[in-house]
Amino acid sequence: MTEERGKMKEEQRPEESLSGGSVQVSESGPDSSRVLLDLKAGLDKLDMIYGSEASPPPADVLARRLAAASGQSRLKQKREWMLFGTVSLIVVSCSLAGAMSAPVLYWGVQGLLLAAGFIGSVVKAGGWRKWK
Amino acid sequence: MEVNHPNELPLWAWILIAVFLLSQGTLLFRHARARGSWPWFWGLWGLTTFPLPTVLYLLLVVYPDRRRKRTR
Repeated sequence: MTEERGKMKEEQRPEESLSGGSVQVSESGPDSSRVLLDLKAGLDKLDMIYGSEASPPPADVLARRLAAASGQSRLKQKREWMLFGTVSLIVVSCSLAGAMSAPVLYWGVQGLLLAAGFIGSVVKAGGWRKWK
Repeated sequence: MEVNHPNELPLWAWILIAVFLLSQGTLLFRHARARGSWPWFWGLWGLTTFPLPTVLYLLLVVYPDRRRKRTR
């Protein structure tokens, strides 16, 4: 293949296009055309070695991957909602039972949660620096 | 009708409270998850009492977010 290109180089003029007009030799002289031919041969070699890795996957493969990722995300969301629904039923029944049977404990837990939420949001906002 | 203890509340009042709490918790969870700001904390807390979680969520999450957007 290199020999063929070498022959081509001798036969072709520098202005001739390579590989269907994609590359054109603008400078005259044998050195520039030889450099271009070597460059193209190197690129072809790289394409042969890394072509399968470098090329993007076909459109149908990409579409399948996207559909799979979207389905997984939807499934994850659905599971999270189901978990939240189950937990919410338990929490509501526990909190109502607590409010009914032990109001002091219930309001104590509420106060603790309020304090935890307030401290958490202050720490998150970085407000503790201002207080120092 | 005088209510001295929570046990004396009628059934419809308990159902109403449960519906309020479930709606509040679900809405807070959904909204906080869309914003990525502690959805489980707000959702679970919203299930326990009314309306403090909503008020604090508006004050601590929604209002600062809107102010930040307005200043940009």
